[in-house]
Amino acid sequence: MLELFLSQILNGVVIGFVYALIALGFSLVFGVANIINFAQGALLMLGAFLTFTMVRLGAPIAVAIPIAIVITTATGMLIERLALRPLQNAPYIAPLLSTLAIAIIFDAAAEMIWSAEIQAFPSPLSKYVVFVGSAYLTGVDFLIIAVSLGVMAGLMLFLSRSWMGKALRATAQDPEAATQMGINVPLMRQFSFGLAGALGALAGVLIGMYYMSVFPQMGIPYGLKGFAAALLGGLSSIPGAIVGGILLGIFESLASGYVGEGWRDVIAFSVLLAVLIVRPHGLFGNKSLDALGGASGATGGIPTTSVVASMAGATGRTKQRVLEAPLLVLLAVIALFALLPVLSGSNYLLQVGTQAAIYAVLAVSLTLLTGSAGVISIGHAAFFGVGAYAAALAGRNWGIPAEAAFLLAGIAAAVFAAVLYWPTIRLSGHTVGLATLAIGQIVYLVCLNWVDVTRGPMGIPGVQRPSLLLGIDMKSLTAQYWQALVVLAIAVIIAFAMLNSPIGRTWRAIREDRLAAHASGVPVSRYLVLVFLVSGFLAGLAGAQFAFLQNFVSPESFMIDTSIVLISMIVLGGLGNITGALIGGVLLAMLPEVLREFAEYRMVAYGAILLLLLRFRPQGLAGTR
Amino acid sequence: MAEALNTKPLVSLTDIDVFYGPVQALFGVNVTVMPGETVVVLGGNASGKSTTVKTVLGLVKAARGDVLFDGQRVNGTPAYQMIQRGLGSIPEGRRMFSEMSVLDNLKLGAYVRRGESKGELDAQIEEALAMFPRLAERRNQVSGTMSGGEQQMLAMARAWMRRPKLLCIDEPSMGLSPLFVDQVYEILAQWKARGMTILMVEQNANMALSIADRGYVLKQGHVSVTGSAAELRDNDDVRRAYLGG
Ligand SMILES: Nc1ncnc2c1ncn2[C@@H]1O[C@H](COP(=O)(O)OP(=O)(O)OP(=O)(O)O)[C@@H](O)[C@H]1O
Ligand SMILES: [Mg+2]
Repeated sequence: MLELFLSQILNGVVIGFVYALIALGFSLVFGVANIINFAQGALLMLGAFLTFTMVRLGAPIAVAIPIAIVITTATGMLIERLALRPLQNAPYIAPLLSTLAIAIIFDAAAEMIWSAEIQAFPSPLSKYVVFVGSAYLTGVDFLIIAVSLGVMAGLMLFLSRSWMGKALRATAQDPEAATQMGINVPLMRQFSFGLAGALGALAGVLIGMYYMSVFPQMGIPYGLKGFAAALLGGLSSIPGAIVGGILLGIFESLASGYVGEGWRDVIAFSVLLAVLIVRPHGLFGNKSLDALGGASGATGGIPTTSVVASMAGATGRTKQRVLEAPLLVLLAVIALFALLPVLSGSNYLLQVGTQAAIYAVLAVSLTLLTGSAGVISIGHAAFFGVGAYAAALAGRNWGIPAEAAFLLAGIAAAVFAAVLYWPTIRLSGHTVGLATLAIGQIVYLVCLNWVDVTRGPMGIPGVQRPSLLLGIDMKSLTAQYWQALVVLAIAVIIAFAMLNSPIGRTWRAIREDRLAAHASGVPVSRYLVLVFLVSGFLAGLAGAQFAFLQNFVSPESFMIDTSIVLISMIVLGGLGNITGALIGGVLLAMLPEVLREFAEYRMVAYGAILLLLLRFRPQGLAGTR
Repeated sequence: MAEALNTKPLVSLTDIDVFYGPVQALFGVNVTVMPGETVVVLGGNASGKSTTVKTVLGLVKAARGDVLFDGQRVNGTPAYQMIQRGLGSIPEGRRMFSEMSVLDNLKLGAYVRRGESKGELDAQIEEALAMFPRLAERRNQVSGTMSGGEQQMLAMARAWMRRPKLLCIDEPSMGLSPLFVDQVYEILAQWKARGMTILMVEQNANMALSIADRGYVLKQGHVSVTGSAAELRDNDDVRRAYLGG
């Protein structure tokens, strides 16, 4: 018993050093450029895969690693230049989504280049083993500890002694003052990305050696763990990052030893969430997350918590035209679409049409939450999934009729949304994005690992469709299509009614300035819970409709990809705008059908669309409301 | 004096308009500073004083007009390059690197001189500390924990480390007790006597005019009065608005 414990602790310490390296990259970018860099994990993956490829092509690993680090460093700097610097005056949400888009593009591109499979990573040192009692350490473990300590000591010296390190710190503390010392602040921001890239690549290589394998989707989970470690350690100090990394490593190592390997990441993301909520300053930190802003950070106008306001002040939004169709027009358009089965009996069209309607409901649901109330949600697939599983389980396990399951799915997702997002209620700005991303990952992993209930990766087959009493065969695809349109119409009516009532105005007021809303006596928490409930309810209905359409649910429909597609939809349409959400939802839901031959480029296309929109039309097609 | 021989201004703003978004902050402003001169920009709150200095520093961009420094047109040159070209700045509100020590703040003041020998820079740091005994006692203190007056001293010493051709100062006496204001102006007078060229913004017109050679008064983004320090002291408008009588 004790042996297992000790060996888990040892494992945890070792992997914890790697997390500390990732954490330092995060902290550097966070400190200097004032943004949460979701692309950090992508750089880690890139570094690992570049090394993997060069070794496969015959390069000695000792040569491959430095080259991979150099390329990744350059890539990090390029990302800053292309995806962040142009967003200096863009809306507050833009830099965050921009790094997210980069992460998705890298992830999807890596799957295309290297396939989605796990690849064996060269790890020449793992054959050397030293026993410590009954636990043991391999050569890789020693390498990890030695390299990490060396790099951290070097980094500490660099930051405290060198001109460049001082300039980086000065930029972090006051960019405008740094400029007036003659420091090239944009260049320093770029350097911080480069350094983070180098640290990420190194961490990626070490992870590859440690697990003797790499896989294209490794970026986001390790990125999140790095951030968890950074946050745990307080974001501002190197010793903090080490302690945070090691603590995280030990937690998850114990979880995997005692609960099961599948729960390792659940624990890691739960730690992230817990720290965000309970101790956002970390264990030792003093740096406040509250001031976290856009790419221009504290130098812009007055800091704002609004996701749509531009950091340059309100001026960016005054001239835009907003396209908003009246409710009757929207319903009429939905009714027109209802004629489709009459015009064409194509099952393919009906299938696509039903999918599009489901995504449109989800987009409406997300635009209420993120667009109107300003709660950046990168975990929306979680509520979609909860709805789908609720509908599937209700029929299968509890014998509830499918009609009632519909309602149950909506309620279950609403309750889940309120319960899961409740702890994030005090967070604002980019930290909400981080928390909701973690929540989305946790829900996905629970669906995947809680085999007793969800049947894990096998999914739940045989979900029964409702069969209404109207004499129509509701089980046909045509009926499913109509049913999805009815759900969409209901979603639009609910959203429209809320947004055009005092409730919607209050949500927007909270989005624009949460402090002011507080100060003027608005019960902010209650309004946020309301938006969680409504948004969750609609996502739950969409989930049930999805389960009925597929007759099947499995965790992979609710991965982070889905959440990001949803965000792309509402950004494309224009935040907080129902017409926009419908346009964005339908357009992006159709995209993979239009690009059928290029199905594998789907996520790259979503990422690229998101990136280009943020750069050139941050208000979306229909305009931000 | 050298001014008679050297008649080219070190800095000149000609017909400058500056906008913040749709809001215009400066309207056709003309300001010049000759080498060795101390020039003050006076004016009420929101009259555009800081904007004028920021235009010189390259922190804001003129929509119209010319900014010349050392004979060259520098419109649109980013601030960090203006510092490299020879400007020094004591910003409004002092803006310490608040988590760093006094010594590190001073070193960063000499950032653009980082190519020079370490011995030379260290010696100058000692010189700067000698000028401000309060700082010398606190050389390892984290600057964010110092009093406002001490921070102003540090901001001054930090800018001095640049050895600027032109020192831009925004409201050095803001929020300071009379004792500290006197100390600040004593140092400024010393620097002036050593030949430093100074462009300063100040609300405290009495103090500013005591060391300035010339001045400009801004009103709602326009230069309303200009003249020598003595002329400004005698100008009725200025007396009424800024000198309490
Ligand atoms: N970053 C900014 N964004 C928008 N408007 C600004 C900005 N900076 C200054 N302004 C506006 O420009 C005008 C002039 O401002 P400036 O800071 O130059 O005034 P000032 O004379 O220095 O005032 P004070 O004595 O209060 O420091 C003001 O109306 C101010 O609101
Ligand atoms: Mg001012």
